[in-house]
This record gives sequence, structure tokens and C-alpha cells, in this order.
Amino acid sequence: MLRPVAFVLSLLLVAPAASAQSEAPSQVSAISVAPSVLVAGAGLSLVVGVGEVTVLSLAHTGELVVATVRAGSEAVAFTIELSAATVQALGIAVGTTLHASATSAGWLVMCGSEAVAFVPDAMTAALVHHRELP
Amino acid sequence: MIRAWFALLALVLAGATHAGTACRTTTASPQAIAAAAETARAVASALDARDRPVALLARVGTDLSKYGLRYSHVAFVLRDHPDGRWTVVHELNECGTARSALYTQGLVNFFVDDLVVQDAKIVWPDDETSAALVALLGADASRVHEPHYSVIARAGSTRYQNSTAWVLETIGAADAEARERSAAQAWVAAHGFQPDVIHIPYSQRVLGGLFSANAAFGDHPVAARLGGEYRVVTVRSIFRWLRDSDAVVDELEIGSAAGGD
Repeated sequence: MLRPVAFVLSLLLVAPAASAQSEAPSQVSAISVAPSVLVAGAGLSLVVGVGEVTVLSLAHTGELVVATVRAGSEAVAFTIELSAATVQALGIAVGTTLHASATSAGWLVMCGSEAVAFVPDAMTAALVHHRELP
Repeated sequence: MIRAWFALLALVLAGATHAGTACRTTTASPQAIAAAAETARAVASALDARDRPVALLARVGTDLSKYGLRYSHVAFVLRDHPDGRWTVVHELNECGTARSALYTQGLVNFFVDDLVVQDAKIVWPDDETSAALVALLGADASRVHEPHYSVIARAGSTRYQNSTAWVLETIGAADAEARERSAAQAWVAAHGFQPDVIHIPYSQRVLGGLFSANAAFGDHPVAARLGGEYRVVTVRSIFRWLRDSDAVVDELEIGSAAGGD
């Protein structure tokens, strides 16, 4: 049941200024991936059975917020990364319940009707990387 | 693993700073990431289903339908690359500047780039071209990379290069074992490659904001500029050339399957 790793993607786009993106088909944009950190080796596979997680704590790190969550009554906690703007806009706080719904490539974590994070499954996580060649 | 990902983030942000432009960080929506992940998985499944080590992979990053084009960007995708089972290798423009660099990316990263639609086309080259590409991309991917970037780079230019021209010239360099861009360009021309001619009227250059740092119209002859007819390497022209050369063993469209290149 327990999976060793699960990641939350918050893909930060380094967007070009003004309208350059719409004019250039080959811009560098999706160039960074911030990982989630599993505190105790559990993953969203826990959530599949439970369907929801509860926020235990929030730690702000720049534009991201690292949320430590617990799946249902499981003792194991893990962390996901959310955008600070989303946390503020939706009023996500300690005790907030988030819901996870499965997609073909992972899970969407929802706060009410708003998607707040995407968590890839292991196969999808292997398709996430980025490196500039020397 | 976790440290590696944090290190990646730091490197990437540092690179953005180094570019010295007005790049800013924004966060892709979870839905956008989920959509990209779905496309990435579909592409990975299609790639896994063929026993081929390399393919060309196209995406729709810009709506070029007014030019009669569907796909705006093309890359190589390699099997069992050190960076991942299926790894994209491609040239990207840096934040609207006149510079480019080569990148390796996962398929999710490739399809999360603020695309017009989540459509993809995969073209598998023949054995000879595949073997040559694997050898070149594995050992010397930047052999014919020119960092002076122009989105409207003239086909055959040795002063500028855009992402599609890098792909074409890399194929030429691989097949011809060429060391220089000019030699790769000469080889593809001798083997029948014909660029597309894109009509961009002067008014559109102005109104469309195409006087930006990454659009060097001066690379084209005066007659071309006066007439607004620009000879460029497009995804369509690359795929057409490979088909006409009988160098394609299979191809697949994923997404809305609107057809065309």
C-alpha cells in the first residue's frame, strides 16, 4: 500500500516578458519543477483509499507553501507544495480538508472546487525533468 | 532524489537570472500540469509501443494556422537517455532574447509549455537516420547548435538558427557526419530539402510586435523583406522532406488529430 515516493508538481514557468510567448513557438518557459517532500515515506496512494487529506501545518517558502498533510486517520504525514497565492485566496489553513481525485497520470488535489496541486504517479514522475546542456 | 530536484530548481532559477531579461516566474495551474501529464503519458506509451530508439516529436506552441502550419516546434525524443527513459532534446529560445540553448526535458515538461492545444505528432525516422541521430545526440548534441537565435531565421543561414533549423541541421550532420552547420545545410539541400515560404506582410511585422530581439528579419535578402516572403525551416517542411526521402517508417498524431503538419 505504501509507495516510497510521491511528488507534487508546482511547475514554475519562467515566462518571457510581454507577448513574446505568443509570438515565439520555442521559448523556454516550463523550466523548473519544485518537488514535494515526503516526510515519512507515504504517498498519495494513501489518499486513493481515503479520498482526502487534512492540513497539519503550513510553511511559507517564497512563492510556495509547503503543506504537511495527513491522509485520513493515517499516522503518516507527508508534504505537498502549493502556491502561496492559492493558499491565501482559498484560505487554506491548518485543519483544512483537501480532496484527491485520480487522473490518468496522477491525482488532482482539490480544495472545494478548486484544484490546488497535481501529484503525478510514479510513471509520470519519471517524465518530469529539465536540464540545460553545456 | 529530493535534493536533486531542489538543486534543479536552483539551477533553473539561476539560469533565468543569468539571461538578464524580464523573465518572471509564474506557476502553471494544476489542471495545465495534469493535461500535460496526460499527453506525456500517451506519447510515452506510443514510443514504448515501437522498438525505435529515437523519434521526432512536434507540439503546437503557437497558433500558426494563418501561415497554413499546425505544429510550431519539433524536438528529438531519445530512448534510454541518461536523463530519463524518454528524454526530449531540443533548442529553446531564452526569454525572448536573441539567444538559445539546448535542453533535455521530460515529456511532462515538454507539454506544459503554455501550448495552444495538447496535440502532438510523432515521426519515427528509418534505421539509418535513427542510428546516426542516436550516435550524434548521445555524444555531441550541440555540434551544429548556433546560439544566435531568430524565430524567423532564414533557411540556410549560418548567422542565426531557430529550433526547427537546429533539428534539420542535426539530422543533416548525423546523416552526413558533418562537423559544420554549412556542411549539414548543404547535405540536406543536396538531398532535396525545401524550406517553406512564409508570407509576413510588413504591417504584420509592426502590428504583431515582430520587431523583438528574437526576430532578425535582416537575416533575409532585401527582396524577401520587401515582398514579405520568408524562407524558413518549419516542422512541416522537415516532415515533408523526410517522407519524400522515404526516411519515415511510421508516424502518429495524438490529440485532436486535426491532420496536417
